[in-house]
Amino acid sequence: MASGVITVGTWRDDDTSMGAVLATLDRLRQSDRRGAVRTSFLTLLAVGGRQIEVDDTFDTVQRLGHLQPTRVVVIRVTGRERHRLDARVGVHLQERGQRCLGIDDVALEVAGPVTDHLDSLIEPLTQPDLPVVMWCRERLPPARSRLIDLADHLVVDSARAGGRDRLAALDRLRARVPVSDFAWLRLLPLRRRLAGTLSRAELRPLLDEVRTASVAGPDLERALLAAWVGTSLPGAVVTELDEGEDTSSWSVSLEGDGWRIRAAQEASCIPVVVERDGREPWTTTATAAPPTSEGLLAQVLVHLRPDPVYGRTLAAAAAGRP
Amino acid sequence: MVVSPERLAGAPHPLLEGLDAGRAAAPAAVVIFGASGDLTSRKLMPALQALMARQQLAPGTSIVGVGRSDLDHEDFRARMRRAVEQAGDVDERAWAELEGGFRYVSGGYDDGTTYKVLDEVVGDLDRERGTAGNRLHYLSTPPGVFADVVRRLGEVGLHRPALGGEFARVVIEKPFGRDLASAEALDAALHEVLDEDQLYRIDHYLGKETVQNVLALRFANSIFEPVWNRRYVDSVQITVAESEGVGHRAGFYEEAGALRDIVQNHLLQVLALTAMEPPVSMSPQGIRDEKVKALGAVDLLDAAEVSAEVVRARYRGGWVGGAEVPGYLDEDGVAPDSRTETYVAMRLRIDNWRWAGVPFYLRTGKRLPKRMTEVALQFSGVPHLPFAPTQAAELGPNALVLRIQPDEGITLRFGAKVPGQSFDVRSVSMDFSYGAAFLEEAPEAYERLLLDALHGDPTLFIRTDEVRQAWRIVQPLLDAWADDPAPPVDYDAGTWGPEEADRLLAADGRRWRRP
Repeated sequence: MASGVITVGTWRDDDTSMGAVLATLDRLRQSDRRGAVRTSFLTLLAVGGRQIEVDDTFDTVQRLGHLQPTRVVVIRVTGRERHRLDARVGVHLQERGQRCLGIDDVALEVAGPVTDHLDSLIEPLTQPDLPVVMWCRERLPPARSRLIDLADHLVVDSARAGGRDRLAALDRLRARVPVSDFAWLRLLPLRRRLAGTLSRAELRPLLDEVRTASVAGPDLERALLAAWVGTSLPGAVVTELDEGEDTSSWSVSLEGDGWRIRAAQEASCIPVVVERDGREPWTTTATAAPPTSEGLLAQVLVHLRPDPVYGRTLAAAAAGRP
Repeated sequence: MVVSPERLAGAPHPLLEGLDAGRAAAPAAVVIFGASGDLTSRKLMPALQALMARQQLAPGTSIVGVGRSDLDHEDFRARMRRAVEQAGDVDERAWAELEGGFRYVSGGYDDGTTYKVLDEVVGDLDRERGTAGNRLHYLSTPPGVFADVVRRLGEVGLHRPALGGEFARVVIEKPFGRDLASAEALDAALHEVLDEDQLYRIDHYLGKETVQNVLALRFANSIFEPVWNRRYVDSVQITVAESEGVGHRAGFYEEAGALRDIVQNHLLQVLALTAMEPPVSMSPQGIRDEKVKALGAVDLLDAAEVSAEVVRARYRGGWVGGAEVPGYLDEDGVAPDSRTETYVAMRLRIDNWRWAGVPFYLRTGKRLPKRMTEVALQFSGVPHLPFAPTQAAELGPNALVLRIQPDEGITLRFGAKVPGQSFDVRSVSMDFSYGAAFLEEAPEAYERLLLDALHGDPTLFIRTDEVRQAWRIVQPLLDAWADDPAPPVDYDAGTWGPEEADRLLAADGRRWRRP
């Protein structure tokens, strides 16, 4: 676990029941006399298909440090034949100032008919009144999944979950539950730099004169950037430039009469170049290392709120509109 | 209609939507007067680095130190690097952004040459680093030179943004004057050069998340405000306790004392937030107007009332936190015949519809048992207690306690049945811990305030009329004590104050909370 985290107890059992899991959670929590308070944070539900996803989920969550969710539940479907529930439970304390905060993690592997009723396993594990954040790492949840109805917020990475082809499905999910998309969050530093540059007094008027915009980068990022620019600057003609599949770089160029501004996300920095007729080109470069999974997850967990700009962008990208 | 670039600057635009860009500052030269001082190293520089690490400062933001110490640019940069290292981990990416922007101007604050050189230095930064003509002057100097620095900034034009720039602002640290007259004189001098909207008077208490949370608690919830008045509140206690002594600040403290150091600013600011009416909006004007009204409603004490309503005291030697500590008069730098108070307790009344008849008990002191700040609302009892006296013997009054520091949170104290066959009722506490609910680390007060100043949001800074109202409340105490040759009463270090403070409440049938 992360630094400052003390494990009170762990338990695992194969072919067990949810009753045993819940009883174990209570028993382990009560066995500690240090008076941990339950945090009022959230329940994080991660849905994975492969064992490596389960392990990686716990690794990522542990690296969240002080942003540990109150309870982390990772569920993995292993088959559909015979009913089986394997469970692993951990109860921990995190020291924070003079207090101990209680943190639980639960890993469930399920098979059989119950895989059509995963919500019946998860519902008893949710914390009263706390939001449930559902993290689907590799694929979008099926539209019929009842887990979506249990979730207050859905976290996906559309770059790993089907890319541009699945944006329409993601947009339909967004109509049911607020969505945070790691792929969109990875564009944030570039958007911030471009917007910040155009906030400068001498450049701000250019925004009203944008005639064309071009975006480049991998397929999905390009689609999202094109949709963002297109919906933010409806007067601009937006072009997508296919410059190969370098998965760590993307760019936006805005052009008007006699000027061009280009911001590019490169491996670890974002250069912005401002060119205007009759003036020396001007470049600033900000460092911007690629965000980690835990960094992106932390960003989502801290502010669980719908992002209307993402909604607008996703809808446009899903419809194939820049 | 042609809209000038200056008007458009800082205005929202389509690409900013959804970016929290309101918290990202425009590029600027941050000019720190008193740059070789303690505040710069301990607070300002770590805060600036943290802001850059979160990309809340624009690339190109530069830091210019001004001071009497004989340093060059490189010395200053190295000193700031050490300051950041001592404050915690250096964020190398943020440092790389800042590193090329350190400049230092050595000279006296009363020397015109200092300002001419400064003007050239920030002009060069505009060209070299794109600080865009924006200036934030931070006066971390003795208050005696505030007016002179600002006058000389005006002489070289640094009180205005350079061509194409958006702002020139001046941040000044408390104390804002030594009394009402000097505060008004200082304001007059500052206003000869600056408009009020360029002045950012800092009280770092207002930058604390939990102080701001008083507003959230009161005005974002429907369950507290209905009982937040004379009808339900019996009394209010506000405590700002420090366990430290004067340390190396004896020179300053001898001149200030607890009244000027804490009561006139921190305590009265917390009082204002606690007592104010709901603002129309959370705009700077909305909040500050209501604070001024609350302070304006405080019943001023006359000379005779001061001795009855106020206790001033100073600590003797004693034990704090397991260590034996000297008395105030034995501290280095304290005059043997000092009459400076290290403790103030007072009873104030707020003459308005909401608070008429509700005493506000305020106390602050050094060398108290622990460092803590809290606001406690003690509620009136129920009209009729249907229990036998023995059953409710352990039932205290309901209380709502806002813990501002440390262990920030809220405690609600109420009665509950003791488990068992009998029907005994006892007070229990329901505890909310800010840290347990929001695991996100709150920014340091100076981070918040520096960013606000760069961004042009004065909400958490003190407006001139707030300063005047606070001095108006404190002035009768200063006058009374100036005429009183008696020294402050004594209290033992490590206690919650003198008996006189206990008697102040006992006379009302109340007692201080034990925080």
